[in-house]
Amino acid sequence: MNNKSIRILLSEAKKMHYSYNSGFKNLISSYAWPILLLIQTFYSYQSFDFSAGIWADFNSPKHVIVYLLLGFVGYNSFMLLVTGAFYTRREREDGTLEAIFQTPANRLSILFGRALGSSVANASLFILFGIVITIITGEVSRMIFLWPFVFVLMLITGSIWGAFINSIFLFSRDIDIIFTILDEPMSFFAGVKFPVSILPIGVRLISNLFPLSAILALMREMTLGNNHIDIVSNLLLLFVISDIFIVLTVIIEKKAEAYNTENGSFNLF
Amino acid sequence: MLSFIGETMIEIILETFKRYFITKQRAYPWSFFVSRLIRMAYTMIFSYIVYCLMANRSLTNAFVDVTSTTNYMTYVLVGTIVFTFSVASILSVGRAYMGEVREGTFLSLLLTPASRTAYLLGVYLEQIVRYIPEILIALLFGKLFGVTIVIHNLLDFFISVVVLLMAMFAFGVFMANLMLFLRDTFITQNTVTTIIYLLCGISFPVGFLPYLVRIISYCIPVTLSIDLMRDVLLHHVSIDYGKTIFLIILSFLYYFTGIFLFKISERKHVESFG
Amino acid sequence: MYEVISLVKEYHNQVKKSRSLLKEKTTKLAVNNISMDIREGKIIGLLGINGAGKTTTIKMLSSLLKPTSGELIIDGIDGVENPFEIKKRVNMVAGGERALYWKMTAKENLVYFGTLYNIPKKELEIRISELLSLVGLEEVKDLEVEKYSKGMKQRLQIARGLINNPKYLFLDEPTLGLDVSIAREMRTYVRKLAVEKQKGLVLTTHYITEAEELCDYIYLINEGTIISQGTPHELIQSARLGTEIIVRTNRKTSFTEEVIYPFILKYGNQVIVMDNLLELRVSLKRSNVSDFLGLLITQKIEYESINIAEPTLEATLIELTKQNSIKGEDNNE
Repeated sequence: MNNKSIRILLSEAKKMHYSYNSGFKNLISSYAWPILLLIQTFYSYQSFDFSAGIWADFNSPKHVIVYLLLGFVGYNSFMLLVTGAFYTRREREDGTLEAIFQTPANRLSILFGRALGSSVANASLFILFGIVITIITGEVSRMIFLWPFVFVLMLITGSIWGAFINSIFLFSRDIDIIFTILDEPMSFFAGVKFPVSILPIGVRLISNLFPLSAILALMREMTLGNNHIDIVSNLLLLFVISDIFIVLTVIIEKKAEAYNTENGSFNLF
Repeated sequence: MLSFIGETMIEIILETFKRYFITKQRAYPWSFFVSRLIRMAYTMIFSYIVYCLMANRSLTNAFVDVTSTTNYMTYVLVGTIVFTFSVASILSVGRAYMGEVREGTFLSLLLTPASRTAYLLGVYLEQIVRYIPEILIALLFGKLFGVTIVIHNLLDFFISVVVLLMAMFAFGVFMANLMLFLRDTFITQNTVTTIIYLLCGISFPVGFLPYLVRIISYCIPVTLSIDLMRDVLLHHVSIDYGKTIFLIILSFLYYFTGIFLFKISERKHVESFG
Repeated sequence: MYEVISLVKEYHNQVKKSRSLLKEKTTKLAVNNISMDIREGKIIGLLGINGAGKTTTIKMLSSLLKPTSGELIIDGIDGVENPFEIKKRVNMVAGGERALYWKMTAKENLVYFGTLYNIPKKELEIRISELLSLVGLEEVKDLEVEKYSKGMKQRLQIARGLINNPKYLFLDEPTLGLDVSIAREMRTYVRKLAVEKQKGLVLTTHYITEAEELCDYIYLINEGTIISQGTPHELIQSARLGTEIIVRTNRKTSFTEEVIYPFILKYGNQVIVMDNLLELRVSLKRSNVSDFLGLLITQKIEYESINIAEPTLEATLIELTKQNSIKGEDNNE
């Protein structure tokens, strides 16, 4: 990406932040809902006696809490990076999507910018959860060095995923249903609430398709340090998956733009 | 006179039902149906994975003591079905007025002498009809996880269903007027559904929550609705008339609060239109 | 110059038949063989009823819509193959309150769009300042757009449309819903853009007086086809509508049969008496007007007022559209 593209990316991110990702409503959706859902999961787990299960790490309440917290930070971080996609429909109605595609701006920069529009909310989420996890684990020095690295990794991978989802949403106004279909599986297969290692091998392979899966495994290994995964090979896997998603994003964007110019569907009315 | 009012109300209910059925069929023929089924499916799958693969079907004593059951999957399925229905009520009845505001037809609705309750009943009826296939599919899906719903007492089941429908309608009316009052749907509906998911005993017993929070739980009609259904379908005990009457009273409270909010919103809306 | 050659746009849709599960494939010819030349410093009008194909044409010219066939040659470059070359040279302004971010200020909106056009930062700052001054929004540049009036939003739209200093600007109903005075101001800007800034403008509007005032050349579109073109004067001439003369008296029963007989003799059924014999109307060729006035004097008609109205562009366009529809019906038979 050259200076021109970075400038467009930052401009798009700024626009998304001011137009859609700031204000009281965003506070509620970015923090209140995830925290309530986290509490719900925590209470659900109180129903189960894990000592009889195969996942021994879940025997320690502290471990369960940190495990779930990391899952939620990762998942909600990804969700924040995807929220820009939901505003595509509104931009179609407002005529601003058409105005954007009227310009010769680099499309990939726009898509990444849309994803990164929630960076401020993301950073605050990371700081908040980072503090909480540090208090629970007591691993202050480890978290001070680790957490910013985890945040940057999450932001890069998440923005690639966000750009990918944004490109799909360019296709048409009715594409929302596709996301509804993908959202639950992502939470499921990426191991947000439970370790994917307990799933059958075929299902685990699907899990590897989601970048969130690799990120969460890395985050948990770095924070809890249980030697369940090899960090280097997981980083490599993340790099490969991310590259695949970048390529897919470029292809889908081109197809979506061609579709919209053929059918005049940049705007709804 | 009364029969005339009754006939008019039935007409309004049926016409509203027809209108919503046709417009939803054209705008969203499958999306709501599919998305709700997916959510239910994943809730069941997640519960199964945690219960069977992680905990090896082992429940804590706390759970068994509070719920008086070890049949976790049936416990979750009943909770999920009632929860999904309550969310559907919020999304249909709850968003009815704001939907009219967004389409610019709310003022036209206010101009008519039509009963607002009849209008909302029409919306509710449409949603019930849409939900029936979803329940059937959910029950079939439950069978995959070894859940078989058996009705031992038909009368108790019938009473529970009627009271549940009444409670969810009242809740929907309250939500419709709350959203109109707040002039917001997205934040309100998602906040309320998230709170219901946490507080109403869908996948864990309300008894796990702190005492003060439990009081709030029981003030939400969904909690007792789920309790009633679990009594009949899971525990196979006779209907608890104390809970039933309390739920009916709660429903009336929600309904009348909704009507009160509507009077304020109606005035504000008409004034702002000038 | 921007050359538009034989532009065609077909839409293919799948429409569900009523009371049936089956879908039917339909094809709609929205634009059929439209050609025009857009020159710098000139204002072209694209007029027609709703659904005529004006907006579809504009969108093809601005690269938002791909033509089914035809050519778009912009400054010698093939625009269909290289839509980004069009994007660099044109911009579009649509009427209404769209295409702006309401939660951002005017300045923020312009910075954003300017960045998308890759205008260097320093140059962008200067340009934004000039544009805000041009459209009279300097004082409110740091106010959120949602607080603007309709007229202010429309002016900001113009500024946004000029942010990339386009050679060609397309204005799709730019004065839609504006107050009379604001609309007049808007027309002044538009004229300035062509005359002073030498932009090539294409304007669509339902306000015919606006087209008459602004346009150097007009294309009249109906059902996706150009049915007539020319300067406003040429179009009026081509419709062959007469000059309308209305003579009014204040005495009842003035225009009796006896009085108007010479007129009927000379001008036949073009002579119409109205309003309880107080008004005489006639639609004549320009060359016959002085002859008619001479006849009034000869017949010693005591009139209170005489109104002479040249055919308007509005009447011309209605007539031309009607003629085209009749021709179309005849061809079908």
